Amino acid sequence: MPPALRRLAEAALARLRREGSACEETGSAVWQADLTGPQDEKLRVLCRGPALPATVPAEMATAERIAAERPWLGAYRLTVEAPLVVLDLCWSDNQPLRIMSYSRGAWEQLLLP
Amino acid sequence: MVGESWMREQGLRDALLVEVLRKRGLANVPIWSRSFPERDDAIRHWEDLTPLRDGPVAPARAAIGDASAVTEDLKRRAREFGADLVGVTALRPEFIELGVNLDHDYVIAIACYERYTKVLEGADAVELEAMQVYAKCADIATELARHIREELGCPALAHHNGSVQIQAIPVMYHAGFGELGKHGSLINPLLGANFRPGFVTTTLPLVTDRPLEFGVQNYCVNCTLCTNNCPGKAIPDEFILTEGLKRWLTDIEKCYPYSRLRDEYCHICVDVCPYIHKMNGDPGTAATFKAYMKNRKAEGYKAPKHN
Repeated sequence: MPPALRRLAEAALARLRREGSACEETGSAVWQADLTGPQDEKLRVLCRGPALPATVPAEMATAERIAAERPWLGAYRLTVEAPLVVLDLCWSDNQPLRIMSYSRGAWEQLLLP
Repeated sequence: MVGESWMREQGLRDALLVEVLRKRGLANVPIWSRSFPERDDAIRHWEDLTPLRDGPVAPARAAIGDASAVTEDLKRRAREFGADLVGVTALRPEFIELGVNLDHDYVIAIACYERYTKVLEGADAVELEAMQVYAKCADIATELARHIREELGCPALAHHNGSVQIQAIPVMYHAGFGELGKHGSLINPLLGANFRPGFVTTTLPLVTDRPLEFGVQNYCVNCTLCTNNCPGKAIPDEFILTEGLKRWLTDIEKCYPYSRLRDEYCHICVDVCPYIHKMNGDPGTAATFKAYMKNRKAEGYKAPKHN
């Protein structure tokens, strides 16, 4: 996993731990943190899964693996909305991470410490 | 240099598409699994060109004049091969696919026009045109890369639908093709968003172009044609900023049910874009646009059926 993306994912989880609140959804929990930047920029961080994970997998799933392992359902899904979905990661325990979406932008500075 | 750009994979290699298929209980992608022999011929054409992307470099480098003359000569050749747009920009890590090591300095972008009249012939005609134009771009990129390697003696690699490690939109923007529109495609003043690209990366010293800005981003803020016509409601009014540029990120999970999960091509967001005629003043294209929009209105902008 590229270091820049890992920093973003870890920062998102850290913000959820620090500023997030949990609620129940069907079959899993969702943690949510709503952040506001100095110029009133809005950022929403969400994580769905059985528990709030401590970290994200270091390894990324290859495209070949993604194509071969179907259907596949991840246990965790971490998203950042700015308000559009700018980061969307999915994974299961002891499995490599899948990038569903990632768009670089000014939102990254708001998320990072 | 090592690439830093995450690029969405095509087809079943795309994790998000796999997730969309899972949610609907589908094993394959309808738009690509249906029978369409002419389209498949175009795909086979660029796949056949994939092994020719790279090749031996002439042992002795040709006596190359100044970078400006070389750049102009390459652009002239690309146009002779059929390119409608040619531009050059310096290669950057954020233009290259994540983890790919590409020791080149420049990228030449080429693009070919898709005939807009196809919109009046239906979705299959639009899809076939797109695929055949992609195949043409693959031909041009392959030949341009071969010329640089074999006749100028510099490493060069073609990037096209057969295999690409280049992030198309930012490269085309920096190569001076135009501005990013709300529908997520680049808009050129002459061609609108109706073009497809190919690329060559190389070590050959070239003169770079500059971004071409002509008011698209401000226009798109208030124009709602693509957002209103998108059957999946996938094009947002909101945007994010990346290096100061507005990016209306299409909601891919809403787009895929229409662009991938039906057995009919969806290109509506580009086909309703007024920039196809807005800047070039071509009366024929303006008339086609008017006729197409009349068709859209007759359909009540209704969403096509989907799986």
